[in-house]
Amino acid sequence: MYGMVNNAIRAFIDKKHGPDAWARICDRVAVDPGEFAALLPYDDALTMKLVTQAAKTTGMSVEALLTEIGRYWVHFAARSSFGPLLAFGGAHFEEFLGNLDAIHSKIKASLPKLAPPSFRVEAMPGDTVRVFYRSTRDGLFPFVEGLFKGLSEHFGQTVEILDFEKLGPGEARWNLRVGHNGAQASAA
Amino acid sequence: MAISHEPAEIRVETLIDCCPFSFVVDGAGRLARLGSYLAKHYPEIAGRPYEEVFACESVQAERPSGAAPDAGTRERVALRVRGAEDLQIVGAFLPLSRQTDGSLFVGTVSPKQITKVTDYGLTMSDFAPFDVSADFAMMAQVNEAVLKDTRLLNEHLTAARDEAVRARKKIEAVALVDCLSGLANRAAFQQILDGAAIDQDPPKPDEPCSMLLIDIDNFKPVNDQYGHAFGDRLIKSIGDRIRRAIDGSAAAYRIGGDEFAVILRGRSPYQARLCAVEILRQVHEPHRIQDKRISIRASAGLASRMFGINDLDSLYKAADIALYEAKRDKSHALQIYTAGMGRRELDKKLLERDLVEAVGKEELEVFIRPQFDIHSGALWGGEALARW
Repeated sequence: MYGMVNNAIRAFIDKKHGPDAWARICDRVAVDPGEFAALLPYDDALTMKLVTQAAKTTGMSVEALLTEIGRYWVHFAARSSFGPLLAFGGAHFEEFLGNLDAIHSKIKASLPKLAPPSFRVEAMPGDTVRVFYRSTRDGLFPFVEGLFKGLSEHFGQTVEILDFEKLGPGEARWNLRVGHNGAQASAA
Repeated sequence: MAISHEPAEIRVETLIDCCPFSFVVDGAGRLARLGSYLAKHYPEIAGRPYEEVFACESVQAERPSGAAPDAGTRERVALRVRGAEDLQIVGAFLPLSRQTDGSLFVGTVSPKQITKVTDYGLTMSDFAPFDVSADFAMMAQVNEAVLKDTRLLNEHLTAARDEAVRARKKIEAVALVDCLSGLANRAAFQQILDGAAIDQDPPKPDEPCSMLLIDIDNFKPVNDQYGHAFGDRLIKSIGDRIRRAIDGSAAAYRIGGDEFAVILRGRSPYQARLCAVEILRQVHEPHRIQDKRISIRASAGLASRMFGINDLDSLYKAADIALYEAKRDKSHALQIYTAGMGRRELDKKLLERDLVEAVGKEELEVFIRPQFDIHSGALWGGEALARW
């Protein structure tokens, strides 16, 4: 993972649980509590160690924490240097998620070690959409569900998970009900 | 499948739907249809005369403002909505059809404004699927983000490097100071001799420079008589006196237990001598330590740059010879190095060398003289003499 992801975890813990909690987590993982270099790739194992220790420190389950970090990630990315891409990617949840692969492909041109997930959005009858997700990393489904939540808040929409099916390692499908009448919200 | 080469009529609606920045100008010169971006952001322009709405600039040649080129010339033009001239659209006018008057404008965001797409509220969906401007816009945003983060990383690294340099200097400064006298220590003196001092350049070739070496006479008995704590205070007092006697152009070092060195730069040999005399005068003034007045004597050797003695190392050796003279000849506390001293030193060194050679060549002859007790007449020892 690039340092930006670890920075998001750091910012989340710092904001929700305070700098002491982050210092304890880093102490247990044996890593410097300072900022990570956003554009440098770090070992995935380090990110998972941080999440595992963060869950222990905060008393949350790893899944619940991943969901919260996924939700926070959207707000973190929107405030980062990559924020304009979030705005350009779409004016609403479905449009943005549908364009996410194109956005990731452009980022990968500059950050070649990026291994982004892939999203495919299919419009369904009524106000539901079907989202297909594929990643080289397994076990991040709660993070993706947090992303749905964060994106819905970013675009002032409501997103309800109707159905989830794991299709394989790192592969899943969700049926979502998407509402367009929510007010612009911020969970950050 | 056979490909027809007959000209095909393309449905205007299809093009308009695909191209959010396109529009149709009818035969009367009015805006008949608008692409999705224009319809969304400038709905009031629908039906109005084209020339009232848009300012038109030819990309290739001067054109009267507002005048549209003839459709079909494929001339590349840049359009701005009058009164809201923040967004520039670049494209060309095409004939609408063979049967209908009017033209179709097909265009996209100007390359000049590709980095500002989000300022205009544009998203990827505002671009035609085949319009690579959207890709360029994203790449420009990624580049900007990467540049911004790289700058931040660079600032962090620069700050960390500066901090490390400051910390190293602080450590070095502490490591190069004699904690007793507060003067620079032997390591600092060696650095300046080696030309390795960070904050001091070696003397320039034409810069006057002298070195003074001071040795406190009979310092050991002071330690023995009054104790080491007293001796330490005396060293500090001597250091303070030396520091007071010199100015910023001179640097003082404690290079041994009771030895000091002063490098005097930018002064003529005469001025250096005056300074050396003043230093010695202050050192010789009685020191008040632990309610005791104590007077000490010091010997000093001064060497100034001269022919054959240019670098600091040579100056050090010359000043050391002069100091040796001062120690030997107690009548003068300060001795100035002269070429004669150098010759004497050279003679001494030649003698040492010849002696070593003589031993190797067995040129020394040893004579042993027995010694007897004059009372008892008993042999009690002997005396060996070497002759060369």
